[in-house]
Amino acid sequence: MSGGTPRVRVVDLAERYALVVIVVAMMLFFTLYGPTADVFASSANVQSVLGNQAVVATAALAAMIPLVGGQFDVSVGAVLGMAAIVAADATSNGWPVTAACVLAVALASVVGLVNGLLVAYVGVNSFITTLAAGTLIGGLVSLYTSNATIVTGIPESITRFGSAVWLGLPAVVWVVLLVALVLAVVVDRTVHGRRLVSAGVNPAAARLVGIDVSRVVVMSFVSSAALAGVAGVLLLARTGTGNPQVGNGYTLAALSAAFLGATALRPGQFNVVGTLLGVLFVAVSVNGLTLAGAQDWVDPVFNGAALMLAVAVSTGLGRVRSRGTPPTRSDRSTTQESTT
Amino acid sequence: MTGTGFSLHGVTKRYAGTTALDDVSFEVGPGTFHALLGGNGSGKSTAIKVLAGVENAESGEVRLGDHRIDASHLSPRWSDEVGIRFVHQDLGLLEPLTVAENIAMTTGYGDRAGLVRWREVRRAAQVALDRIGLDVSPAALVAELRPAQRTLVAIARCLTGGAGAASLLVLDEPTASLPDEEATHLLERLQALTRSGTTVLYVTHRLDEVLRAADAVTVLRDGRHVETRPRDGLDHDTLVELIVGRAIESLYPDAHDTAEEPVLEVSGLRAGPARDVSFTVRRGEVVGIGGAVGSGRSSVLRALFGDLPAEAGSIVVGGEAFRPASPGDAIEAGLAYVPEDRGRDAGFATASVSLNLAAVSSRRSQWLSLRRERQEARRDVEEFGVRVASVLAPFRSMSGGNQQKTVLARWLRLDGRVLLLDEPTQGVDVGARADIYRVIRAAADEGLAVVVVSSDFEELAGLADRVVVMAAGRVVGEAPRGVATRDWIAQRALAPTEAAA
Repeated sequence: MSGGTPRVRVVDLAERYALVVIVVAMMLFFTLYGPTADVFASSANVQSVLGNQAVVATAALAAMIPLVGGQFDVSVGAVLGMAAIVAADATSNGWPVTAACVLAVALASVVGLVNGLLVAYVGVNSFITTLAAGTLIGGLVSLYTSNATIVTGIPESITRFGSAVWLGLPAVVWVVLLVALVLAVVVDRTVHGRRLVSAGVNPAAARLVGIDVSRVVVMSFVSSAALAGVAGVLLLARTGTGNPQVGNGYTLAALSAAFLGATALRPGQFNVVGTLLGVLFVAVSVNGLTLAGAQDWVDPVFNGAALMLAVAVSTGLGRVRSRGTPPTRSDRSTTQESTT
Repeated sequence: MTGTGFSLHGVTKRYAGTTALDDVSFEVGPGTFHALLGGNGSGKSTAIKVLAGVENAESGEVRLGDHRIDASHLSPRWSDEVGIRFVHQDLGLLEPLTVAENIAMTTGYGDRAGLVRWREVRRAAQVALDRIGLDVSPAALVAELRPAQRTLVAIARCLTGGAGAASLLVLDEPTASLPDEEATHLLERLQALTRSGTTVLYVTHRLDEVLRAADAVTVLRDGRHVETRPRDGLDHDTLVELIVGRAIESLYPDAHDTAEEPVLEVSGLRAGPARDVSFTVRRGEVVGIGGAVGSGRSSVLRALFGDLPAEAGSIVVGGEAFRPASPGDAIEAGLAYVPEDRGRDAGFATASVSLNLAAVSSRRSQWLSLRRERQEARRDVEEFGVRVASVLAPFRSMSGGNQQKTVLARWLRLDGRVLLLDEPTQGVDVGARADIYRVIRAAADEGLAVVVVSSDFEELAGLADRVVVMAAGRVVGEAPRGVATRDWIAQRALAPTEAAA
């Protein structure tokens, strides 16, 4: 219950802004801490961290869309990897850059459509569906490329975009901000977003207020996959190569950012700004620790720990909140005739 | 089993900011069937939680037989050891398992070595069932039992298991979701149980059954004890006055005669168990549909709303043939539907009251204005008397009555033509119930055609202008207000009918 007693309000505020405070505190720490002070706050490091996170951030926003609608998409990483390979292969075979990017995003969307149709109309669990789809795509990508990284024939224009700096920020970061803005507006301010949120909170009730839940689910997987496709194109732009083995690694990073985001600003709800904060939190920590001398293991360990912590913290705070309010009749109830 | 009386003395319990129980004292005699009544927020749930040792009181004392204990020192373990047994509204039964397997969850599986001795499990279950006189096979699946039988299985289980011998049975709204005839059956069994010595304390909103079955009544209001007295000499109006704190002149608002044109015409409808159902609802009219569980009444509403395919028959809305393929179609045609199970089918539990109110009206525009949404929500909250801290509070933070007002308000934002309501007052306290009846009548007066499905025949007799009774999928009677009394409806709804073709 919002409002309420001072104690509840303090818990509420703490919950909302904890992640913001932690991110800022870590930035301050690594800026002041001896071994990292020189490099961490340098413009080059900031540019590199933000630029490198553009792919993860886009993938995290992609993963967030089905989560808002109550579904999992664990194929974002594989789709991202596939899109990067498609774009790399097409351009190296002489396709114009724009056409290659469109092809990559379109193929990604087809994967999303298949995922969505299986989940919405066949009723397969979304986690299983997308796990299978992701594995399948990974295999097909490796078949197509013979596991060789595509390095030749990728036009310079695309890598130039990947390292370009506009108004002091990497160009890819502007792409992320644009995507985030559009997504935030769609989710919060349009009837389409409201349908997605409603279907996520209670699909049965959503149906009975006239929402075509199946269609909403399909659309969420298509948008998620298309956005994962965009992330794949950004990956190609940043790295300049099409590596068939990196895609799946993005799935966990994307999901943990989205879950971390659901603990912040609007606790309990997946939200755009929270998701970006989640990406930033992991990025800043890993970068700081790496600069302080930690090795490669930091990245997976931190991502895994962040995901666990995020879910634990939000569950724990949720419990404190419900304890702070007077009890009400539970909303559980049994039904009699609903199946007749 | 020997029943033990119990009493509370000066029990006080505060939650952050609010006093849930304020110096509450009352006594329940041994071997009596005692009803604990009060509106939402009256403190009855808290009283039960204190007794269960789930919540610790600040001060006061609980006495149970020879035991006396400081109310701030109660624990679930103490409560279990002295023999207090609880059955919650959510029975906690595992439906895909058998009766015996469910009972074994508390009585044990008959072997110390961790192996299950099935013969012993079945024997123990039979003993537990015999004790409350429930005639079902221990091998029956819980999913196949009737609702009242399930409640009785839960009771049998809690009376048998536990540390100490059961002395006091506490039931939280055992009949809330039971249809009339099931509730009657359950109450008869409970009365038999008290005659054999068990003390029963039960919480309910259904006053008619209190007047029929309870030996004594305790009423709480706003955390204070109002009254404890024997049932004899009490009537419905007195109880309502004790619970609400003022006289409600009449629970049901006045009806007006309507001679308006028909808005909803149903003929020969076949859907789910419903067979050849025909009835007409006029503009401004409230038509009730009464019937037992499985009579097909809910299926009729769902078919009208496009939630269940109509296999045969015709539906005419406002003079035009209507065949909804989805709830969306029905909404476009001006139909509104408040389903029976709020938590499952109507509420967006974790979302704000504001979002819940806008759930249907937001269809109208592509872009949402959150500011306007909140303003409209505040207006609705005021107009419909929804008690909630803020329109941004989650739906689930409200009591059942306020949730139901919110769901009703959601639909009444539209200029609809037909309002379909399934069990609109289930689990709603008597104060909010009167509000809901007023809202329903006001909606009819505004020109809506209203259909109310209910298992509470008293409610149908009081609220509806006309009552249609269904049994075994078919319409078995129809009568106007005055003729359609509680008994008239019950006779037709519960009469044995030949199996439907």
